[in-house]
Amino acid sequence: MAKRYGMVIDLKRCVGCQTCALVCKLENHQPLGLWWNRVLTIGGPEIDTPFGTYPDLQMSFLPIACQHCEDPPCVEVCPVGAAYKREDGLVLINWETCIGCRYCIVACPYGVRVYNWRSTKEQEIPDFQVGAPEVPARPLGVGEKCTFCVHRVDKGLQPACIPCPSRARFFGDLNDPNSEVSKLIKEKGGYQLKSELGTNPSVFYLPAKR
Amino acid sequence: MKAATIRPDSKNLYAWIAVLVAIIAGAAYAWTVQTIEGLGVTGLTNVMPWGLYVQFFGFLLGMGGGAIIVSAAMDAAGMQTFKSISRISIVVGVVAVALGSVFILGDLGRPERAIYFFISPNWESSMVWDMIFMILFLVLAVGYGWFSMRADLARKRSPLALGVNDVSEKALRRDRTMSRILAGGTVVVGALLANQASLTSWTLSEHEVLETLSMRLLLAPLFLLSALTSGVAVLLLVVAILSRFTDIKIASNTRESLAKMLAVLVVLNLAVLVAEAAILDFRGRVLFSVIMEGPYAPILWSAIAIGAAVPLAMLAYPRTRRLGSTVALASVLSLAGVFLIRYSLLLQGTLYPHIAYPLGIPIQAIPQTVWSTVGSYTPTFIEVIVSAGILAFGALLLTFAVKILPLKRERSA
Repeated sequence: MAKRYGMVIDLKRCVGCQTCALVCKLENHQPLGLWWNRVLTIGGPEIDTPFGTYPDLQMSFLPIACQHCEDPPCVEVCPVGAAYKREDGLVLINWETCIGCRYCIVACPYGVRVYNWRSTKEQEIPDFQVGAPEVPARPLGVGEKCTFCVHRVDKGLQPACIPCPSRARFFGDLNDPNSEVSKLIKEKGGYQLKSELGTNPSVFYLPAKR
Repeated sequence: MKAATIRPDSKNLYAWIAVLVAIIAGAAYAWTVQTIEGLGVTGLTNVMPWGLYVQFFGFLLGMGGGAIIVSAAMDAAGMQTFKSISRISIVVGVVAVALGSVFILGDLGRPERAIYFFISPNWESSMVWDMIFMILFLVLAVGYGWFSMRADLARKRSPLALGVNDVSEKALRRDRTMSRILAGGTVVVGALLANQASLTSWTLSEHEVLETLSMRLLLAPLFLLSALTSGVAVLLLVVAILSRFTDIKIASNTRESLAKMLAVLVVLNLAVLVAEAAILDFRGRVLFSVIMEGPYAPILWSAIAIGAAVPLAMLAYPRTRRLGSTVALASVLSLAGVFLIRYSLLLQGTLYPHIAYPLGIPIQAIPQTVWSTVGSYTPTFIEVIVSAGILAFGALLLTFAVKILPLKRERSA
């Protein structure tokens, strides 16, 4: 059976330190103002604030990036086939053919796609390539998003965000029932975001309360 | 056998063309800035990535399709009611839809790659079908227009007759048959085109993305009706302008029929809006209150007041309905009404991110990054100038069309 790469994020272990977001930004050389991976606060109105009334306060985090859907709306709507899904489940963008129509940004139910609104010259701080040298700089006027670190996965490595300080992130083959990710999903009640939409994401979350 | 003359002649015409060219030049400059610096010069963000350009694209496609449907349907059925304005409606429809495609180019981050629409089209994407309908519509409508004008062009010895100068009875009959067939095809494709925005939302509703749009059951009739409304309104406006500045005169009973038709369409539009509001109220209060009270609700309310209620009052009374200036004003207001209703629909579609917890979505405002959990969009000066330039280009095309095309029928059929 073909591989289907997937990720498991344990919300009980996530402490909202934003390390994965920052590692992703550096590894993939994301210009000023663009983030492929974000850690949202499920709590109060601001980052790192709880909700509820003292002493009954609650706060948890939701790390979110491309969900690498089995049936991705972004690929369906892309008029020129620049957004595509690989055999192994990775949803990617061809930055050489993307026309920059932003239909995929409108269509993504998870809001994880960002756009190169400004020319790189203004945006590139620092103005030299950081992170993995294999990751190409994206041209002005195209969409971009998490690639599951395709440059690392193709070398047999794990995505750069996986070494999480509180060990909340796992990566592996969802089609292999004995893989760490498959077992975690089965044993700890892994769920997908907005599963009712039928997009069937390859990113699973383990509930914060269990 | 003369082309329409534009009165009062030369001086005002050249002033008009000079103004249009100046606006187009300004737009060319603004578009150059946008192409070099990126779409960051617009008011668009990652939360609300579609704005004025996409709005004009949908609006002009609807308006062009609507304008042609009105008279081409009667042509195809062999009815004479709007025979005298069929050529005007073809020219207006073709120019409007062509301008719509220019707006798409203006909206693309990499316009030079638009060729990929043809190199590697994704047939699943509704945007590809928009393009196909658009091209098909332009081909059919140009053919329809050519066959209905060819004989007059041939008599004028215009090169636009493409060398087919036969004006025998047999050739005229063939022209009539061809133009009726093409009129029928244009109506079908025009209806699909006028509905393109709801087509887009159907595609998205498969995944219930764009929840605010896909929950709107009456979106398709709303788009079709608003397309017809804007189509009739723009025809009335063009007819009023032509009768003021050229010797193309349209019979007053034709104009009054159009004005009545506009009034009926405005009422139907309102009826669908009310019905939809009732359904939304029944199905989900949240969405209802977003539409009725949200940040873009004032656009909808002003559209209903100024763009529907006022023109309706103006068109309802026979005395005001027969006044050229009143009808022209009512047409402008109805056009604005349709524009604003569609605008509020478009903006509400992306107002709230699907997953809106803090920090939110990076909206990339330079110099500092701002995160947002709710969208906001105001067109920038650059967007307004580029849009004005594309519209001015359309006005220029229409001006030339009046000069070189026999918009006035030389022979009654």
